[in-house]
Amino acid sequence: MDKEPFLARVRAQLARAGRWHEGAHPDRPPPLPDVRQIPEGELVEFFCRELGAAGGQLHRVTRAEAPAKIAELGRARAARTFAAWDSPLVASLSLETALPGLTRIAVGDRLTLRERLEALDLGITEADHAIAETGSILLLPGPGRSRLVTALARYHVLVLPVERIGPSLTAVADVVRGCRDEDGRLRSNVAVVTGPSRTADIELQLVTGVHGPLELHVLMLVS
Amino acid sequence: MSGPEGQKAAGDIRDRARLAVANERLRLALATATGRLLERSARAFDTLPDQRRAKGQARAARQHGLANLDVHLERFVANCVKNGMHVHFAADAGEAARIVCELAKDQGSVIKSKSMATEEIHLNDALLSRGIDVIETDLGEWVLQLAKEKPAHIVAPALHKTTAEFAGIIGEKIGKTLPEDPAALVTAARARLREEFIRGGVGVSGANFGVAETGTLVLITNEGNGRLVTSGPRTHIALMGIEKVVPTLDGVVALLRVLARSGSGQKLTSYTSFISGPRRADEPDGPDEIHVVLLDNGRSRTLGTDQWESLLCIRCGACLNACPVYQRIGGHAYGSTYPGPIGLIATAMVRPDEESQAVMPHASSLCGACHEICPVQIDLPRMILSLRAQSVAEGRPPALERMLFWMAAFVFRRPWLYRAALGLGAFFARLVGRSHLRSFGPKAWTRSRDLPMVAKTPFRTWWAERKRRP
Repeated sequence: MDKEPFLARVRAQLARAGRWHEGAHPDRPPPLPDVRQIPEGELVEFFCRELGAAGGQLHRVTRAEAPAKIAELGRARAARTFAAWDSPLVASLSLETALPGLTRIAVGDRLTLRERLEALDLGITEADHAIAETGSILLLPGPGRSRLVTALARYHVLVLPVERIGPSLTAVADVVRGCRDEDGRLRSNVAVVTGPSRTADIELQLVTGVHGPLELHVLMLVS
Repeated sequence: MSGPEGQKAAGDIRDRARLAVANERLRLALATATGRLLERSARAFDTLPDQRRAKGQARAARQHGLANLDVHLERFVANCVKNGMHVHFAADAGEAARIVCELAKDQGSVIKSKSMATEEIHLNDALLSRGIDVIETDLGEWVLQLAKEKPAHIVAPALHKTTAEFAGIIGEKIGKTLPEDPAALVTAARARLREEFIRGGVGVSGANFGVAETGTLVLITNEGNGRLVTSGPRTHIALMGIEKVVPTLDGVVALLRVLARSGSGQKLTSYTSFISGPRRADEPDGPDEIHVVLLDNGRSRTLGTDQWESLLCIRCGACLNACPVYQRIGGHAYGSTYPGPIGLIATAMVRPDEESQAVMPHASSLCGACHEICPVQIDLPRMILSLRAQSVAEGRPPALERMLFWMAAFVFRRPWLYRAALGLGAFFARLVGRSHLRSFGPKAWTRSRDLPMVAKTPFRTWWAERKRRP
């Protein structure tokens, strides 16, 4: 069906329903005051608790300690490969030096990326925002920020400077609205990640690590 | 429609329900699963300071979109196009399936993330009949696809299957004997489906919401398959019912707060993706093309009718869990993509036929549990009643039933006749005696219930005497 007749059916039906349509102006959305208030002082503790409840693992480290922590996580899981975002914060961790013996999979060619990342052990990224209310982290797209690195890795390790934690889920709306490229165009994909992948499809028993990462490690950078 | 325990051969919902109720293993599985889901959901809602307010906001966000759907749908389409997505328009299920098949052909296999809309249009059958391979990637959906069954629940599609059945089905697929251990089964499924994620040529998903203000698709999954399906393949096709349009991102946040709590007892699902277009030139991955297929299939003609509230539904499945009928007969007995209380309304909308309009509306006790639990407060009992009324107005009930109700109405309108009938009834009841009374009553009713003795003194007489006393 063409666009116009398709939309016309909706328009005609709403016009027929006349009275029902009144009282709700399209550009006057209902007010949605935030129902979740978390006091400023409890923000970090709240985030840590919710991240844990969602099955994520938290590590409090300084920026200087972060590379060694990642190396330790990799060793404990017998990791052989890693891939990382090419973002300023992740780059500053000098991962090649920190992870000797691990092969870095360069993101590079897009068409073969899936095949090359199939054996990815550590996917190392950063979170631009985190939400205390739900223990979620936000993964933003952009140059050097591969989505598949976060989705195909067996273990997703990310760094989160503590000051990036905000209280409420309502922040997601602003982040999505504001996530644009240099031409002002919306970027392709914002992911709100809450714990590792999971399923309860087998007799409602919770199992973590389905198609996405088996584990989610958040390195919270404190001073 | 195929289902377990020979449900395939059965006639309509009444026959299938009878078979399901006779299956003790199924009833036990249903009771356990729905009970657990309800308990988890209640606990998750307890973490909200004001859950009534949260539900009110979620409803307001949906209602605002529906009341102005013409404006917001047009805005959504315009913004999707601005974001570089292609938008297609499907008036009914057949057209939607044709569009998706046309888009998906010659690109290798289709990998799918769980979507009720694709079930509604029977997309898998359509793809396979055109020689396009399609693989469900949600664990429960995948196992059902292998077992050639349909989902039995909106959120937990394979809740009627035991761990042993999972082990048997997955084991047969990969040619190994697997232990009856959920974690081991998930590991095996992960390894097998990983191959599909790597080679899949087209990703097909539904959409939980479409945001008009930005032209954004919102997709939630727990297993991470949604993110893989929409990030790996060159082409992403999203099928979305037109009622899923939400005017603003703030409205979506209000909905997310209640959706996972209601559906799976989580505060938020593991992955919530906001998809606002294909890969941008400077981004390392993501699909080159995104096609949004908008599905009407009975939705537009439901707007503004007394069934409009069903369009508010966010497919959380809570009304299934709370429904005493669903708890006993399960999803397959409904014989429809959408089971449970919301299924009664949704089936009449997307598949208007004799069964959905005249028979299915009676698969409810009108107890109101669905209305109470619904995160967007849909008054399902009212709509179920209205479907029944509609079916009566169209003269669908059998002649005998119509005559009985006509007689009852005739008597109820005439107080003198009503009083006389009461006296006559009491007289005959005493004459026959309690033990024989049952054999006169309707058999279907008295098989599991007692027909009580008519009181010696009618209530009206008793009440009048009582009032006369000082």
